[in-house]
Amino acid sequence: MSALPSTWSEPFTVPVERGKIGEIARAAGLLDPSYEREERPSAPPAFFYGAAYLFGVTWERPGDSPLGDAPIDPAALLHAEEEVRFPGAPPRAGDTLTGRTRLESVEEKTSRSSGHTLRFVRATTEFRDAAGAVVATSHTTAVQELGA
Amino acid sequence: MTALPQRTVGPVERTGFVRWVGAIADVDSPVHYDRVTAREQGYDDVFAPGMLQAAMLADHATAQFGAHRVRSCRWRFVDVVWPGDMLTLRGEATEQDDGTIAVELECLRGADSVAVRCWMTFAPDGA
Repeated sequence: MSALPSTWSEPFTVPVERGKIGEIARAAGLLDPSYEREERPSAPPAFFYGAAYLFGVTWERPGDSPLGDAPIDPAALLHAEEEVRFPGAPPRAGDTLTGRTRLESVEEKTSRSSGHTLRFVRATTEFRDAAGAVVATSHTTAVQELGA
Repeated sequence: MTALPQRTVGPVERTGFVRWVGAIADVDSPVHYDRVTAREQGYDDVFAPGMLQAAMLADHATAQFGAHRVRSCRWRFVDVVWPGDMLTLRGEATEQDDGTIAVELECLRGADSVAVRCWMTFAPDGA
């Protein structure tokens, strides 16, 4: 494997649509009605996880992006941790963002319970607004148990 | 430290899992909706996509403090959730000196098993 972090994927367009925000919020039980009620709702934190599946690249569907070089079997991985950070207010419906993703790190640890080796792979996606400013950064960490 | 209102969700069902993976196009993990695949992978049944419970925790917190104030959100997946499980969402908020609010949440399945933990920060009101 080449050096980490990897190069960035091709950029992909992320339309922050009111309808999609409402659909995601309803699928999670609409615990915050503002996502459906407001004319220009903020994108919920989970939107930036979904954006990779909807518009970008993922462990399961890396295309020809650097995620395809991750030393992990997409059929055997589990999601361990997800994170999103916003330097200011989160993007809102009507915004159009550009995303790009890179493989950030590969780390191995020994499971305290099974004694097996656990391989953690971490990817970063940054989302920029039309002016080129980073408005959200997400991290996804997947884990695969490799055996003793 | 202030406790958030506690919220009970469920019982969660397969149709809800399908609605979630459909909404975000996360359909490449059939263990969440296809029992044949789930059994081939060693599970007794399908189980919920972890991000569904994760989204519930975040949305439960944004309902209290405002989605426009979120500055960070981190989730850790601890245990799987099965069809029929009742979930409890609960959390605590701590206001820091600069007005930033730090929130810690957890999603319990059943009485006391943690399925997802969540850490969020919210910008000061009016920021």
